[in-house]
Amino acid sequence: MKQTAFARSSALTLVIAATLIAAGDAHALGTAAGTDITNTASVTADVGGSPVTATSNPHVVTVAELIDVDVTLLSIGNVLVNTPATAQVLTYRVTNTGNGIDAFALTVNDLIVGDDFDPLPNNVYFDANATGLYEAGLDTLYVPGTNDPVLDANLPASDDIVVFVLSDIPAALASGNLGDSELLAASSTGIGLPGTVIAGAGEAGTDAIVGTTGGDDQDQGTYQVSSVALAIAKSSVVADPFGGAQPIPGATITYTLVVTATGVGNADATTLTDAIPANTTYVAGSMTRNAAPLTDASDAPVDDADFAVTTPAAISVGLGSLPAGGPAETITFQVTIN
Amino acid sequence: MHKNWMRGAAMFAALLCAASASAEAGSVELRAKAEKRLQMLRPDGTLGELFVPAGKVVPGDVVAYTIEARNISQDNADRVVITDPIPEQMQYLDGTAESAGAELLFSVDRGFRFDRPENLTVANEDGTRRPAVAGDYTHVRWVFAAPLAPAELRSVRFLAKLE
Repeated sequence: MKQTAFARSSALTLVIAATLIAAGDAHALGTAAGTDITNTASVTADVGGSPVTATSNPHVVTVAELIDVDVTLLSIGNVLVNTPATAQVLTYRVTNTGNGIDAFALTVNDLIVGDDFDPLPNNVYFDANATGLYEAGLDTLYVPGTNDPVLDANLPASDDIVVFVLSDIPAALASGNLGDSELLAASSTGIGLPGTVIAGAGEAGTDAIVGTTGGDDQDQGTYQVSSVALAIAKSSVVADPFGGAQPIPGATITYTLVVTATGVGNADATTLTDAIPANTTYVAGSMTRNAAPLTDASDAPVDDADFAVTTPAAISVGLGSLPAGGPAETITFQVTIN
Repeated sequence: MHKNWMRGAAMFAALLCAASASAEAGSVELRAKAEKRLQMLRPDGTLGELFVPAGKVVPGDVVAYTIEARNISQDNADRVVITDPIPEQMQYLDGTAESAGAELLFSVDRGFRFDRPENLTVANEDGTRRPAVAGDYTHVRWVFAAPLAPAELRSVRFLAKLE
């Protein structure tokens, strides 16, 4: 029996999945600043046999402006990045959770303690077309102090904004390294301890009162350096026509290829290609993937595998997305020695 | 513009009534006040409450509405019924209405019908009905069995939260 085995890092296609956007968001629902709430009680009674009615003084309570803001990371999980990389996106939603109209100053803090590296500042953009996805050239560049987002807590259509924070990733990081980045939004009306009253700063001349968030809020996302290594172990078993294992003409060689992904992230659109060795002939219909037979024709969606169609004189098997640390993929095929 | 005018008018009315009391001459006088609840931690860790005049409130604030009825006539007032709407922007806090010896009724249809809480239902979107909860109440009503004697003062109260 002859057996060979080798492993190599593969240069198979590696695509980082696009950032997903979380569904749902929390709109502010508070009573609008400046609203007057009037209440008048009434009483009925019989006095001296005659029905009487009376009403109370109508007392008025005025709703002051509540300053509150919520910053929520929309990117799901860690954003996988290469090293180095430019313009990697973390997506946030900034919501005015108070009850008035307020402008919010945005700042990005990349110098979070406790991570492996500091992302490098690039730019901040607003989602200009409600796609929830950053589109270079379409979305609006944020210039602090110039176009601070103005959010009206009482209008569901304009109480929030999607913000893309773009960072660059330094070179020469190790796979799996984490880099945190934080987006902070602060009310331009004022920040302070919850309950702080800012006289006359609210809507329609009302006082503004700092809410539970203190008038500012932050959330953070994490970049994760992702490099996936694909390893292929190939072995063969020879069976000669006489029940032995001699590599003689007419003997059948069964090749077994085991593909594993290691590291961090996913190896997307992985395709395994293996040339039929010289002086051998492929045995029709002999391909299997994880013990399930594959057809030789290029006939997706029956299976994503073929012989001598995608690549001349080679088998080609589409393995799809292989997660690092996921189960091994085992491909076998047979040839006969000419 | 219109809104500002409305507010001015309402505040004027409030001042006027506060100054001159509010009742129709001669029988039962009713006064109402709204106070904002402040909560604070005592040194021993328990939560203390303090009520201050509710000039300005923000969403989430709890307001105590207190209504005082006084008999300013020479006769007993029988079948005294006090009704107070829960402002549209406020939500009644369950269990906070102090009955002061009265039977406590609520309305879920802007004061059209009043009943005990366990008898009240509201329609679901699909047409079925579900038991009413505190957030559905639109009015509170106190029905007194005992007559209000001349010069007697009775006060009732409930808490509501600004949405």
